[in-house]
Amino acid sequence: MAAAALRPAILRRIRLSPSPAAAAGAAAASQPHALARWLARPMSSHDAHLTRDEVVDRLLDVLKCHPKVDPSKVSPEAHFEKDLGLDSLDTVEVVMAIEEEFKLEIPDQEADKIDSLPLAIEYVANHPMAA
Amino acid sequence: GRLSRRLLPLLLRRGSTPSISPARALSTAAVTADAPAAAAAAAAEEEAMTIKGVRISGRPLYMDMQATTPVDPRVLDAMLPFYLSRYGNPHSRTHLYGWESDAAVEEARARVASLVGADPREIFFTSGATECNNIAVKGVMRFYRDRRRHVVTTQTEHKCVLDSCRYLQQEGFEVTYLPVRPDGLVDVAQLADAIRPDTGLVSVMAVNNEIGVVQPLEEIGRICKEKGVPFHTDAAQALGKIPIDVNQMGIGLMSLSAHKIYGPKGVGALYLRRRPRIRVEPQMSGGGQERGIRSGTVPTPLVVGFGAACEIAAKEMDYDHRRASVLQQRLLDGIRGQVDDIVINGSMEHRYPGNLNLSFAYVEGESLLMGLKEVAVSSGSACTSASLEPSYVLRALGVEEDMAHTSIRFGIGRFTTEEEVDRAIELTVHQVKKLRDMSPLYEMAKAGIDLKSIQWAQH
Amino acid sequence: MAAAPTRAEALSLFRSLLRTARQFSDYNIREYTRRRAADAFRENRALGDAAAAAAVFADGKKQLEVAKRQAVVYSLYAPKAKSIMEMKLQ
Repeated sequence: MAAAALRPAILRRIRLSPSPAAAAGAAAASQPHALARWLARPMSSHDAHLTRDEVVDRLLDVLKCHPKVDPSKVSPEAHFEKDLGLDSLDTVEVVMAIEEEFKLEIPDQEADKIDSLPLAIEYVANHPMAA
Repeated sequence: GRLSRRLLPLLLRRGSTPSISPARALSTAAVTADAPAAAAAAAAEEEAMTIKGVRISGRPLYMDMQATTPVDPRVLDAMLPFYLSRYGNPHSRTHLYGWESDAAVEEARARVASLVGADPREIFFTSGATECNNIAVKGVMRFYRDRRRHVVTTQTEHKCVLDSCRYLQQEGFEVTYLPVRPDGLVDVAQLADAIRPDTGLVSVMAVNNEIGVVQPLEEIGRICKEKGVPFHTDAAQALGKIPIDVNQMGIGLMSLSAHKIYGPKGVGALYLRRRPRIRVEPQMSGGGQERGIRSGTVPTPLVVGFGAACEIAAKEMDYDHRRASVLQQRLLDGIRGQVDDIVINGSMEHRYPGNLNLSFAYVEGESLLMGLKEVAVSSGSACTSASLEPSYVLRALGVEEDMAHTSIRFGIGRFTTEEEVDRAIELTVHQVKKLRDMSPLYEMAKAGIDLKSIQWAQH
Repeated sequence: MAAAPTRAEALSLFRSLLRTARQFSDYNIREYTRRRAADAFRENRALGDAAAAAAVFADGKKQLEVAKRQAVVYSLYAPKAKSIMEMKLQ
């Protein structure tokens, strides 16, 4: 079922890249952090897939930067509501911020389920298009 | 983060060089082959990007909301159909195009009326507040010219009211220009005293465009009612920002504008009371549209936009007002916390919070505005073209000339963000400090010298 | 009369509004649309009256349609230079 849901999402996101350098330039122009990441990446890593550690780090950053979140309470095990005190509307905003950070569009049904950092990590780490 | 920020300009510059360099080489070759001159040209090109040490790379943040406001996307959305398929003349009586435009105009009229507690039949569309002020001031006086020869207004009115009054004076009418108190408010007792048996109009603006002070409309309205004189108020800066009720405030005529409330430029409305009826002599002759008060085809898209802006303003007034208050406080605290010798022009208590007019002592206003290229603000003063006259509004408040020259009007609106306010604080503080560091006056003042004791040589 | 929206419907509308807000090319409109949607949902979350909740929800859906259209219009006429607020301070 998950695969069926992902297929249109993947098709929607496939783009032709004229050259890796141009793609990196475009990404850099729109998102400076993307450039740093691209530069920091080892030369051998051709597949765009993120390491789990990277996903965790960036997700923690997203949460810590959210205006309603106390950064000291953010941990990889945190539950949005129970540990961070976020309500359902905050959670929607957090999930949107995650989408922006990883250049994803998470369908409603999936997004509704993401109510903790472990679930967010799981979702992003397994998403083939996360960048 | 830091690494990428440093690398990004390098990379972008490298990327853009090939496309730019041939053109640049050509132009410098054409002008001169002289190497130093070419270097100077290149430096000038760099200079164009840098103004007073501040790099200008994008559109300035907009804080000139009293001049005009951006159009709200919801307003534009309401207008667009009337620029596309629904282009009929609302005065056409014989086909659908006319009927649908007419229906839209009447719906808009009802929306404008509803925002000020008026009857739709009391709303007349015009080109804007300036035209309304002309119709109100000249039109009332000319209509009742046989019995009424005198107008009461204030020294801080908008130019178009003052100018209409001057025009009336040339026609033989008399005008009393009331002074205002140092906080910008009119003295109500003084106003009552100024009204004579032959006074035909009292015109006092609701919210001042330069200093944002809110005049005591209800009290003025009550006095006018007692004395049987029509009360006109220019409410261009008040509509949709503070609650207005024509009955509660005893308003007889009122000038309204769309583009100060996120509507389109080029449209406004005159409120004209029906009971007791106030009549005016039209200033425009023609087809008799708008019940003969204002001839000329009613511009449907603009009027629809005005109506939409009023409807949104009615819904959003509380929200917008709360936000403007928070941001005004943030701006004031932010600047006051970092620079001293600041004066707020106009009452803080009776003020629309979307306006903050500040004077910075020992700073030359023109230099400050020039240095604030990344913030779109204006000085309270009319330092236009060659005349360096300070604002007549600030002068009427009794602000000294040097302080009147250093004023800046910050406007906060519906779309202003916290980040913009913070950036405006940062840039303003930076500029003021920089200019004061160069100012001998500031140095002397800090050394305890009373600047007023200095005898200046005439030149 | 329309029924009050379910929690999932309300959250879905909120998400759609935020997504549409993100598409505005204009810095101020983008921020406003996001902020206004977030504040409106917080303000109206406690609406107990089903009819009132239904009305607010219907209005929200209308606002979403307006925002979707206008995000397109804005993108068609986006100025070349961005707001300085979208640039890092040098």
